Amino acid sequence: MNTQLYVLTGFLGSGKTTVLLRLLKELKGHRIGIIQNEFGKLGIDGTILRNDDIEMVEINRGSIFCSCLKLNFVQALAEMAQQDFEYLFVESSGWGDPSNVQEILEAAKIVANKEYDFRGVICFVDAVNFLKQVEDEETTYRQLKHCNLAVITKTDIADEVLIGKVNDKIREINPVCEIIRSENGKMDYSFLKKDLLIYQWAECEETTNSIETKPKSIFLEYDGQVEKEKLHTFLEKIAADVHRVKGFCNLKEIGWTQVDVVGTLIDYKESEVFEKSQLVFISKIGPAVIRNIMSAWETCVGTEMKLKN
Amino acid sequence: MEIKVIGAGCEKCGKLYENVQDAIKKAGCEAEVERVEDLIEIVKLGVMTAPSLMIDGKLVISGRVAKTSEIVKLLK
Repeated sequence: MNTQLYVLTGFLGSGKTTVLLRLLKELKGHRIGIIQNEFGKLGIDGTILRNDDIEMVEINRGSIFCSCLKLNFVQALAEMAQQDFEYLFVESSGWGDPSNVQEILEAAKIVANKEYDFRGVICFVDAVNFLKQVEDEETTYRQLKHCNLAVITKTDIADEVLIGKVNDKIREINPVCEIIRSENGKMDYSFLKKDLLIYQWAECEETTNSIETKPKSIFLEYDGQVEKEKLHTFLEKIAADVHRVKGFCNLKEIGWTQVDVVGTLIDYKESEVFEKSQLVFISKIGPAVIRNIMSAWETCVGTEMKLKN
Repeated sequence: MEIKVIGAGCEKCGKLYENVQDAIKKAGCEAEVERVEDLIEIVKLGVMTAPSLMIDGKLVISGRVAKTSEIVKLLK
C-alpha cells in the first residue's frame, strides 16, 4: 500500500503544529512520517514534535515550495516514500505557498519510482487573525486557493459573527473546498476516511515563494530567567511589527514556558527544559524589526540578550 | 560542447550561469549553454542538488557555485 500523504498549510501561527500533535495522538500505533518545514533555521516546532513513534525530517531556512529548497523537498519525499509509512504529513512553513505542490509530487514520483497516495492539502485558517492576514498577504490567499480542506482554528476564542465572516471569505477564495472547525486543536478527524481530492479546482501554478519575498526572521537568546510580566510587556510592544513570535523562555515565576504570539494573541504553555531561552521573530517590517526588538527589550526587560540572524 | 546549468531559479543558479558565460569567453571555446530550471527536467537528469553543471551529459559541478577559473579548466 502506498503511503497516504497530507500536506498541511496555513499562515504563521494558524495552528498547524497544534492540530498535527493531536492528530498524531489520534493515529497512535500507525507508522507515521513527518516532513517539517520550519521557517527559521532552528526547528522549534521540531522539538515539540520529536517523539519515538514517529520519524521526522526537517527542512529549515525557507519554504519547501521556493526554488531554493524545492529540490531538497523532492529528495525528502523520495526518501520517505521508501520507508513504507502509513501516513506522511508535510507541515509547510507558515509562509509556504503550495501552488506548485503537484509539480513537486510529480518530481518525487520520478526520483522515488514510487507514488504517494496523495490525500490532499489541508489549510489551517486562524479565525482571529485571518481577515487581516488575507488582506496583507498573498500567501494566505494562495494557501486557501490550493487546499482541499480548510480548517478554521481558534474557534473557542472567536465569536460566531467573526467565524461567519471568515467562512464567507474562505468561500470567496475557494468555492469548493470542505470547511470544518477546530477548537483548541480538537476537530473531527473523519476527513482521514474521505476523498478530499474531489474538492480540487485550482490548477498548479508558479509559487509566490522566492528569496525576494521571504520575510526576515531573527533570533533572540538569553541566559538565566526573566520576569513574565516584563517579557509580556516586551512582546506586546513588538507584536505589531511581527507576523509571529515563538520559542521557549525560562521565566522567574513559572520556569520553562513555550511562548506563542500571533497578532495580538500572546499565549504561554509549560514546556520542557532547554539550554537557553530562545525566541524567533518573523518580521512584518523587514530588517527594521531588529532595532525595534533591541529598544523594546531594553525598555521592558533590560537584561542581557543576544540577537542572531 | 553542450553545457547545462541546472537549478530551479535561485540566485546561486544565476551566478553559476554568469560564471559559465565568462569562462566560455576566457577559454575561447564554442559551447551551447542551456539553463535547466524546470523541476521535472532537473530530476529527470538525475540531479538532486542545485546549482549544478553538466558538460556533454556529464555532471561536473554539483550543488555549488563554481568560480570562473575552475569552469575554464573544465572546459579545456
